[in-house]
Amino acid sequence: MKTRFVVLLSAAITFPAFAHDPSQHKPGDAKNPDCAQMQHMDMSKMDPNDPVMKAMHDKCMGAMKHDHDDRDQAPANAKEKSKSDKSDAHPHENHNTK
Amino acid sequence: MKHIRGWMLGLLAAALLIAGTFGFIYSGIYNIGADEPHTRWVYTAVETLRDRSIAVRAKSIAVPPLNNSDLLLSGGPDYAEMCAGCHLQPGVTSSELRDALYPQPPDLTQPSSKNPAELFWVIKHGIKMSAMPAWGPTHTDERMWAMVAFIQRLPELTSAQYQILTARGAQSGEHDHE
Repeated sequence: MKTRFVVLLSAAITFPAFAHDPSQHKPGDAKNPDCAQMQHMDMSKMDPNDPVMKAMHDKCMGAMKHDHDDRDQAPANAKEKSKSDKSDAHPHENHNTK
Repeated sequence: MKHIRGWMLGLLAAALLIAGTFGFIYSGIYNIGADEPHTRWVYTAVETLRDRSIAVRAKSIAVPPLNNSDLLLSGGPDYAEMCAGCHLQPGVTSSELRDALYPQPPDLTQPSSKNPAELFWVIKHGIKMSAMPAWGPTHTDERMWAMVAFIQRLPELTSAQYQILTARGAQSGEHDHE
């Protein structure tokens, strides 16, 4: 009985450290891959068809695409905003008046 | 007469053995504290029981192809979040939690003695009376196989490769701009 209690108590204390529902992952807390480190890797010694290489490439290409999309989105968003601000003026004319 | 006497002596010996076992268990003589190791023969017996139990049950498991980058991309972040605290990562040789556990969790940055089917079984079902959880009730088989695929490659990863593969942020095709 005592042994069972000790085991249950240990599980209750340690389980929160391990319990991890995938749906609880918070994108806001996620760390980004440090893709700059790939520049220091000796690619000549690596097999490009190796799943590790492919996975790193996929991960870092995705990270780079994210950065590019964010930069592309910034001027596009600014353009949309100036369009909606003026009723009939050409967007470029709006920029010139500012 | 001799036959009956032998039979009774055998029965008496068995009764004494059972009584002695229950008496030993109930007395509390054996120290269950995690800060004192098992005696050598107890440790060997329990370790053998554990390994044989896993081997027998894992024997019928069909291992899918694991040499796949998508599995590494799935298994890596899960390993970092669910396993690395006890089973370590490249460049990390100990953790407070791992050092306090008995039995000590295996260092998975070193090649494992278990084959993929056994690794999968342990991840799915856990191990009684240890800190190894059973992830089966909360994770799909696909997700656990991805962890097995990652663990298989873990011993050869550098710290930099590990960081890239286990980072959950900004993955290809998963970012939501909203």
